[in-house]
Amino acid sequence: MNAWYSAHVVLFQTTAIYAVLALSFQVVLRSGVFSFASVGFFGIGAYVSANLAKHGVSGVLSMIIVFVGSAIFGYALSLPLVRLRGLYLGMVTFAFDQILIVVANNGGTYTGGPVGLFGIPFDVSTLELFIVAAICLLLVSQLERRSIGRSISVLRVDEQLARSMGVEVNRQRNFIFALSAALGGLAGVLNTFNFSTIAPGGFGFDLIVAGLTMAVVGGIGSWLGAVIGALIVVWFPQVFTFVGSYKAIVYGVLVILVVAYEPGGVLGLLQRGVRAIAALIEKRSSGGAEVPVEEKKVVPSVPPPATTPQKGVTA
Amino acid sequence: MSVLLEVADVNVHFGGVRAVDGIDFDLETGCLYGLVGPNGSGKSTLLGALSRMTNLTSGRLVFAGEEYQTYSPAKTARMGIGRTFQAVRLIPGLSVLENVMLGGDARTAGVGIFANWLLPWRTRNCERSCREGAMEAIERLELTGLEKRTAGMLPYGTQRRVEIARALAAKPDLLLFDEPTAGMNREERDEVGEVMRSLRGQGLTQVLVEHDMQMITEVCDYVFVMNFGKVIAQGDPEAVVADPLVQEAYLGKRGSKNATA
Amino acid sequence: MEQVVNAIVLGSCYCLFAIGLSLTWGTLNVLNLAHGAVFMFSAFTCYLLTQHLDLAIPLPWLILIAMAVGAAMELALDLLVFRPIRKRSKTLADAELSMLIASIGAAAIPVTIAQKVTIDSPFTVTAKPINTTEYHIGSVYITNIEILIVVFTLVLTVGLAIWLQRSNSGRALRALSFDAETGGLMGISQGRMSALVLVLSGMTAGAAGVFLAVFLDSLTPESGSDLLLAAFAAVVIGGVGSVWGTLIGAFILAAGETLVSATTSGTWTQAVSFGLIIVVLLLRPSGLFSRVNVNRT
Ligand SMILES: Nc1ncnc2c1ncn2[C@@H]1O[C@H](COP(=O)(O)OP(=O)(O)O)[C@@H](O)[C@H]1O
Ligand SMILES: [Mg+2]
Repeated sequence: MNAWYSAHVVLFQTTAIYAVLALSFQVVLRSGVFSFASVGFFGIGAYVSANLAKHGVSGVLSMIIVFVGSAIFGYALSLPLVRLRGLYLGMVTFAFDQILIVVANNGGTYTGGPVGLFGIPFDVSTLELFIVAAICLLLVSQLERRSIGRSISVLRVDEQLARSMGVEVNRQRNFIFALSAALGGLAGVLNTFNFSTIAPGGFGFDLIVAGLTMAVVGGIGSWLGAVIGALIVVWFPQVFTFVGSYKAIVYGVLVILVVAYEPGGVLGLLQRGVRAIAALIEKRSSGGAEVPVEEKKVVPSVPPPATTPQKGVTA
Repeated sequence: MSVLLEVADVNVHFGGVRAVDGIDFDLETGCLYGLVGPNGSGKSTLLGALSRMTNLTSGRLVFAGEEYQTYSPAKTARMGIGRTFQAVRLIPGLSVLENVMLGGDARTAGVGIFANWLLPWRTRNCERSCREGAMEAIERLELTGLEKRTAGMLPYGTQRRVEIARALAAKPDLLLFDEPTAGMNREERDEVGEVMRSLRGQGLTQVLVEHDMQMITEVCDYVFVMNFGKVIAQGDPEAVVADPLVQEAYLGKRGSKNATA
Repeated sequence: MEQVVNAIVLGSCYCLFAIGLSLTWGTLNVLNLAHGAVFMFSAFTCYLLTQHLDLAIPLPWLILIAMAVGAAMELALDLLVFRPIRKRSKTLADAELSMLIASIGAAAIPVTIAQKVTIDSPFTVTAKPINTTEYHIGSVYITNIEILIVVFTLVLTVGLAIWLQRSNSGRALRALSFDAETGGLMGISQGRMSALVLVLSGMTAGAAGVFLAVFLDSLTPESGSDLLLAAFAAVVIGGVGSVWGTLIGAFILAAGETLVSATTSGTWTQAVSFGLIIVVLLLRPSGLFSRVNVNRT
């Protein structure tokens, strides 16, 4: 067990870091804010903490600085973005990520150019990594409870309804965006201090894909989904060694299957499984009495009109 | 009786369409108002304006002495103006109880998004009172026993009742219903009418948009008739229904614009 | 002058590629990230036929083959991936997100196959018999293939634009893009339309694949995703869903890139296109060239 653990400790560390990144994605997606900015903030956090380390700032202080700084920057960024919806917001935040890569490539001594920075002191223990990830999970899980939790789930399904329920939609979106930025930045800091290196390639398109996949395949409904997603993305290559170099194909097919046939993600699948088992047990204990089924499937309610003003085909 | 809502020369224009065209009336506390008119006459738009979901082109709205035409829809809701929508708008994946509790959140949604982090004891108390309010509303709409059911799987009429329960759970001072009984059978309609009468008995002010004239005459104290964005008649339900102008509007002689202007 | 010709040919390829992306986004709310993989794999099929099987195939046939492969791939994508998602999603936002993720997953499949076969190296597509002719117009050299690319793109773009404006299906498609519900009322089957859009999109991606492979001499299995990033800018600049806009956007982008890489070291090139995306979406979300701003409530 111990030998196995030390052989796989990097995977455990990566899981913790990716879990924080996945949370950063999950928080926005759950609120219906289609943002990829988490990865940009990951890059910012990674480089800022590397530069802070050069000046002797400790790991913990770095985390706090980046967390707060990213939150403020993210909040400011969300102010002009708040009127964009859906794919348009996705595209802008995607461009934001890509521009940061160009900046990193041209950043001189602050970023080390295309080669990046390395030899940054290892300044976070595996235990600390897990503690930080756990704190993030705790913070995010609190947003899924009670009144706040309900209002956020309405935000994704029906914004206008949320308004009529007293939710200040734009303010909520801004806060969520800021929180996501803070978590993304924090993941970047953890990454730098754990691997002691960062380069522009470290937060490119692949990381966006990984982040989105973790959040969506795991299940955007809950923080638990982000954890499941991180576990899948990090451990998948380990478990599926037998498919050899075709694992990207297996991976692609699995992603399609989960997304197309289980909208709740793996978490949704598990929840349904648990519910089915519970129902089965209940049936057994109640002597197999039939539960009356009176509801029928009805016409789904018409989704509210989207507020995206700019869609359409013109010749 | 005191005036709860003052609507002063309210206009809502969409480009050239005058969906609401110079509406002017006062609503008194504790009355149940009917709002009728043919399709497209501007009823939903007027409710939208009163709940601030639709922006006014011009006009003034005063609720309990507070001028609110510049408020956000969310602030309007927290102030005590509740509404239902013409189409069913539940969160299909949540349970009936959670959907109804959403209504209760309307009054506390201003607490702030991070309240669970900073003031967990306070949100716990809010949650408890919210649940109590929701259970009360559920009982009132005779939904007891369905609390744990997934809202999206219920029959249409039941979903509509959940919507009404949700609006009630917000404990509003003014409640706007946009065709709450559309798609219900006679029995369910009577039930809803009953609920409205009993709410009226408790002093709640309500506006009911409804096509069913029988229901209007049975439950309402006072009726406004709209056509082409204007109020063309108002008064006692029976008298209004007998009004030739109203009959004409409903028979669809829309060409006679002079008569309605 | 040479640069101008290059920019025009490059712009044509961008345009061919970006049209499909723009149409699927504008009509179906799908940001199809597998589009780049389809583009690459169509060219890759031609590579297999001409290089591995050593068949002598003239260019027009290669183009047709690539278009067929592209169409088949995107049709499969629609039937197997997008359609089930559309059916299951409760809201538009959920559907958009799921389709985007699924298209990333789908892209992994052709890319991995191509990587395996080529062992991660560039591949070329050679039409046989090779009959490249160079024309001299003043000081400008231009090959017949380059002329073919430009003419093909212009004809296709103009044809598509006219078709969208005039034909019944084209009008139906535009109705769909404004309002899926009204579209349904007008008796348009969303399923058929989405299949149609994806087939069109696959055909143009396939043609772009062969053209770029010939024009640039070679492609890599990852070429698709690089092109995808560039095409985002073309689509956004021109206005999502607009055929003319995409054409202009593609040429602006090609001209800009040619200019920047000719005058600077080129490390800032990408920032220009992504900067444009941000500026355009924040200031004029309907694109620079759309005449009407469709206001939906
Ligand atoms: N968002 C909008 N944009 C343009 N016109 C609208 C909009 N909403 C409503 N209308 C128009 O305003 C008029 C009134 O509509 P509505 O208030 O829904 O009527 P009712 O509820 O009485 O059936 C109709 O002519 C309708 O077409
Ligand atoms: Mg209406």
